[in-house]
Amino acid sequence: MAAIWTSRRALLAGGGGLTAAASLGACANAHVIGLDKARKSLDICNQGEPLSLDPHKASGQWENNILGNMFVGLATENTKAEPVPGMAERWETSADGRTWTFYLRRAAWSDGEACDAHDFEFAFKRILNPENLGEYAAILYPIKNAEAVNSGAMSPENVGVRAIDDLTLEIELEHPAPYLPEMLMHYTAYPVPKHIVERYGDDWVNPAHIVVNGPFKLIKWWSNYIVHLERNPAFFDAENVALQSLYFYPSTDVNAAARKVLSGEAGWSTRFPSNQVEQLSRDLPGFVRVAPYLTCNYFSFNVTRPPFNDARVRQALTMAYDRDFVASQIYRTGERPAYKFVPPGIANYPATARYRWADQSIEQRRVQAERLLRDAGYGPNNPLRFEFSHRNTSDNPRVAVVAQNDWRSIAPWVTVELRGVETQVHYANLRAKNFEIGDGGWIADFNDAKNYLYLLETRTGPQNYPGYSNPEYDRLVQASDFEADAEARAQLMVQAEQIALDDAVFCMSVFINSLNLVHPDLTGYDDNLNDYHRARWFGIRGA
Amino acid sequence: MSDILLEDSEHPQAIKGRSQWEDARRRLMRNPAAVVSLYVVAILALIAIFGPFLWVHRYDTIFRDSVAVAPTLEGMHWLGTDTEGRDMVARIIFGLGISLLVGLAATAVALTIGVVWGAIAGFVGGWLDDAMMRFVDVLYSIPFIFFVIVLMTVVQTDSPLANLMLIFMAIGAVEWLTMSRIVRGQTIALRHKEFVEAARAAGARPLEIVFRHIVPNVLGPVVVFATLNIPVIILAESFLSFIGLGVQEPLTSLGRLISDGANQMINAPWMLIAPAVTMLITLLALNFLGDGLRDALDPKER
Repeated sequence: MAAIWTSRRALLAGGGGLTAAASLGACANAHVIGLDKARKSLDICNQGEPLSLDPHKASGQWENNILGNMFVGLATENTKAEPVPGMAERWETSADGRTWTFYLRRAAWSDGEACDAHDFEFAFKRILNPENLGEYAAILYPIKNAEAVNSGAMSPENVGVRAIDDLTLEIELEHPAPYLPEMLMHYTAYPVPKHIVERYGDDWVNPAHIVVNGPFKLIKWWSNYIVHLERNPAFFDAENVALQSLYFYPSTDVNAAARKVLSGEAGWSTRFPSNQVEQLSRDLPGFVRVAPYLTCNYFSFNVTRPPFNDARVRQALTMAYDRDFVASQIYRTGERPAYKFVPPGIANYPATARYRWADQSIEQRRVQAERLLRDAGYGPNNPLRFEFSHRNTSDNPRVAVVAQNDWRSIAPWVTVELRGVETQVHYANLRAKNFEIGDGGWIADFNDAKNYLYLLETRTGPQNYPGYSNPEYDRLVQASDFEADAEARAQLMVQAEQIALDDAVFCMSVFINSLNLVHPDLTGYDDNLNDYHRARWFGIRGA
Repeated sequence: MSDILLEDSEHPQAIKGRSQWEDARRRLMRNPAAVVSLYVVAILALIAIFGPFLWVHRYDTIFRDSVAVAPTLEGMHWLGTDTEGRDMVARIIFGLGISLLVGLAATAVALTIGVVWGAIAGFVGGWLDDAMMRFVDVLYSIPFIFFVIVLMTVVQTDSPLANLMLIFMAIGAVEWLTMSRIVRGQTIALRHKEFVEAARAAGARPLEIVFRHIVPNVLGPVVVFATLNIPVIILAESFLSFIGLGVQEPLTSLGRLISDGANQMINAPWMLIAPAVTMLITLLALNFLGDGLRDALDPKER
């Protein structure tokens, strides 16, 4: 196995156009070294196979892990995932907070062409153009006219982003958004090379055509096997980038990922099985990194169809689910049960909204759940049957077993079928409303409660998995957008969150922690709430 | 009339009392490995049928206070609990039942199709034989696992029971091919034998001849093949479950238990060892029994 592995890697290096000496060097190694001090390379077990490496088409954290090393937005993240100047050296805000001016640094794409304000303007118009089907575009709706353009009501020319000159970019907003710098470090706000995209269209991400402005450039994408990045000498801060090569493996099997780190073939895994934390801490001293994470796991009810168009049914299932047990026994790394939607620890937001029955015991809740289902017309003569689809990776199938058990124990006439689905197919099903109950996880793109609450707005479209639409909820979230006072804004958002909880749109599960296995000799890696770790900051101790 | 007299003189009354099946039974009972295996299979079958009613725990009950405990007498978790807190003894009994059921049912499907197909092809012969056997050849060329995976993904079912049925059918639909070849070969060897000629002369219709006279005479090799086929199917089902296409939670099979156990190998080794040993015993016993039956029913093969 090791031999085949090495030869494929060597083949890859050769195919990537590196010098013959480099491929000979790879062959000389007995096996792949996950954190290779001599070659300055890092092998990474990434939790999924990217659907696309076009930042306008991506939607998963595993795509972000790769894209964040290839592109840099106006702002970018430091090791703590806080926004720091990226392509913009500095920015100014107008008095009303609605017009932001960004002053860009002189920088180039990896082919030597200037990367300037025009590329940013082009990129914002491209992602918001409905023809390009950017499924994550809704996150940019605070930008002026973004929603109207994305829904097809206006032409892309009207997006409130304008290049004043080569190095000055002006962004107009619909409403004040103090979190804008955080939003702009997200991949939806990355620039794309206008001259390349115009020449090749959607094929611009092909490794033969792609150019990048970030610290690493794409050499090869071998589908379902490897994504290979190499250091980009044209990057504006290239002299401070220590690593030479990054290899991302799509490791949907977390057990296999952990074994790969154990055998030394990977220097970083973005996941590990949480119930093996004790063994891994013993076998891999210094590797295990467990940290709080702005992420919630939840089950979406499809509220557009029976039986879950009835709030009582949703309420009953939400109450009967024993999230305390899941948090403490299925996960073993200090996960917290979720009785609310927005994770605790999010900036400028009080954790006061929660399920009203959160303090009752599970037995009391189960009794109430049965009563609610009977009220909704279910019983021995009209049994409740539904299907729970879940991602078949990581700990999700194990959680599903507990959920099924909890729901079936409400009453003998409740039947739950489980369906494990491959992650990407599962999310595609959620977007298409092709499910009854479906699990999912939402990772904050920026540290603000808005990033959660917008998911349930009517205008959010496919990403509003439940298909929820409540005018009062929409009104409160929109009002919070226009509220300048931070405290009053938070209060409006708390009210909206409470409405969503009372309507039981989601059955909240747990707030999970980020679980990484990181080689102790890898420097520049800090735990952070977003679980963003950019290789730009990495170094190798003793190299 | 003279024919009958001749027969009688060759086979005196005294020896005639023992049938071919009686001979086979005696030969089988003289083979210690086969006898032990027979008892083991019988015990496993009894456990699988009655175990779920007799064992104190249900296979899908979650014990919230004892998750992933090692084998212990406490709380009657003799083989421990899995990482979701379910009793391993109950799960292995249930998984064994499902695995044996899949093995038996799929073999029954294979047996039915294979015997009918092979007997008709072999008896009728000519262009029909050619056509039917070429069809078998074509199906043979499709890789088994590939065929089953396509079938399982194309046909989406709602209930886990229907899903289980689909697994039976999928595996059975592939396994009948070998069976039909065996039966066809035997039928060709038999179709010009005197007793067939006699039946034909007596005016029996072709289908009658096939099912009343030929099929009972090819049952020996068929039984042997079926016994050896059950473990093959159990393994195939395990493989399907291992790659996630088999039975769905909370139902389980030996293959699925082993798959789950392999993932928890480091922190809960009992989750792997117990189902793996069960599978080992089951397959060994079935294989020894099959070998014994072959020796007993088909002495020429020795």
